[in-house]
Amino acid sequence: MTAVAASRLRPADLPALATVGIRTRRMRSALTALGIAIGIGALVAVLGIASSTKAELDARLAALGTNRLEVAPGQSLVGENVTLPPTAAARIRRLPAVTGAAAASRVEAVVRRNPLVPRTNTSGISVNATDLQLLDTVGATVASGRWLDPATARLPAVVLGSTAARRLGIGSPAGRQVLIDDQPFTVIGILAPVPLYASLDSGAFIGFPVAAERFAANGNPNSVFITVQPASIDTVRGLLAATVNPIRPADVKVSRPSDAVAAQRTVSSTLTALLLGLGGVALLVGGIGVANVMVIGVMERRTEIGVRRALGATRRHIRLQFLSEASLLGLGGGLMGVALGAAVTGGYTVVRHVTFSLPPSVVLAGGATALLIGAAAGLSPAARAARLAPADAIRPV
Amino acid sequence: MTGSDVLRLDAVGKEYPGPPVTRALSEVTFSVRTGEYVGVVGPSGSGKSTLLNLVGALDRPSEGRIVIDGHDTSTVSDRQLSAVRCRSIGFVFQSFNLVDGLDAVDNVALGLLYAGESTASRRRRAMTALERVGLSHRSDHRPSRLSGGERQRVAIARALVSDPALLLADEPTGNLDTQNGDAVLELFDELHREGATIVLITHDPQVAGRLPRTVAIRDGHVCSDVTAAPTAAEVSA
Repeated sequence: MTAVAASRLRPADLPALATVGIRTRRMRSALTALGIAIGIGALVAVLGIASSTKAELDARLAALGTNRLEVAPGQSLVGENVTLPPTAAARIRRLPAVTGAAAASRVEAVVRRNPLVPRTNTSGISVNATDLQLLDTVGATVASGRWLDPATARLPAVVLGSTAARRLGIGSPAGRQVLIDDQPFTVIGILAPVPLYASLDSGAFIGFPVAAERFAANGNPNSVFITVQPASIDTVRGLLAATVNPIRPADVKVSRPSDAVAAQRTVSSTLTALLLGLGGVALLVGGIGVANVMVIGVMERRTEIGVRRALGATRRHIRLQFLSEASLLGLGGGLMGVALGAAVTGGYTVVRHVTFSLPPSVVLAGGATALLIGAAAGLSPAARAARLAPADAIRPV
Repeated sequence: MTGSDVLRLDAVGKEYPGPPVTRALSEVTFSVRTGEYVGVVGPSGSGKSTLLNLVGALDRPSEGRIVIDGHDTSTVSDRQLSAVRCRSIGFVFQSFNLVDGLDAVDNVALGLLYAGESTASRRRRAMTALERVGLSHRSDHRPSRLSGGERQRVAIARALVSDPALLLADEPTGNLDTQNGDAVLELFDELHREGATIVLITHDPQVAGRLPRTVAIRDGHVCSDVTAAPTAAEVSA
């Protein structure tokens, strides 16, 4: 007997073959793909929003710098308020690896725009005597005018935080005066908002010498802002309390501002894991939808399968056709889902004023996952289609 | 117009496993030579459909030997059986079985899809086949926009497109009115005159009566095998 040339399906014909069922049943295919799209969309949106949030927090963390520390008075064992010694900043500066330290000391005084404003109206502005280095150690910049210098630190001159200037109705420092406890002070500068220490925005800053002279300020700092070399941060952190108050180090509170942001990041990743789980469930339901539709499709298309077998298709060709169709439904849904998720992420970033961030790996993983789920869902129906005996399939039941 | 055997059945029997075990065919022996036009007739339940399955390489016999176009299909694998269907047999069905989503020429080209030919060559040969059945002017119509007779002619073109050794038609006029049925039968006559080997399965004695040779099946056996005297037309051809 002569051997017969085997049936052969060119790979180039596969796309058309895989889409025959989809093209002739558009509504059903679209709805099936939608099931996958919702699952993938949910996952992509969750990851996109998490990524955008994380990018935002990272940006804040980077701006904040992990090389900053802050020292503040703590509470004694019995709960009394304690103070930091006036020499705290100077002592800290002597530590190795410390690149800067600036003290800010609260002055009990009220700032007013003019004498007509009642003395009880503080506008929520705190007056602080500060070291001249403050500007650098907190990463602040001057919006207009200038910062204090050794000369103006002795004079009745004041620099306002951005919120404080707005509350006093002062747009530019040129020749403006305010009253600090009835004494006229000249506004010499206004700071830009300080992103790292928002509490400084509602402050009014004067030099230590003038504070001591005019308000008899004791010079005990409420905060010492410190910058250190990043590699030595843990060492410095351990030394700070004893440096500031060798007798009672427990009275000194040391904090790292970046810790709060880092904690926020941890919280958001826990929430993300939870939402991802929910998205996974949606995706599973979508996959079952594809399997369901493929099972129905194989039953409906018995005759088509029979005709294809009669025209020479092998079992493998039939299996390939239905498997490709299911994979394609998955992939189509996946692409819809990625678009949907990207749109949701985009909407979120616009509303929350954060930077859009969607890692390419999420887009790729979304598409690939959908494709795999489609293929997995098509596995059993395709095997069923391939098992149909051609003689049975060809006759309508 | 006779040559070697396109189809040879040798003591073929078919039993379907039960329970209960059903015997559909036994001791069927006949052969079809190149260029022959043979009708297989019999009432329903006679075993015609089983015979179609075996002759069409859709199934294997339980006993005996079948040789189609030089290929013994009695013992081959499912894959080889597919290959025989692909290369040697063209099917025409009672209910046309065209794909709704494809236009006429693409439906015809489907007959070559599993032969591994390029798209261009498939379409070219499909157009030629459509011309042979007189439907080249309908090549871009979907099946839903064709009449029953036209659909069956498209299906015949699909069966012809791969130049099969054997054209196998299962009740090709069963779903057609008399006029369209006659047109389809005239088309088969013409293909026969052009040299095609045709086996036509029918329960209709009128259809069978116009064929040069009829093999009658009853209760799973061949009960008669009659060759009519050639008509004047055939003599002149």
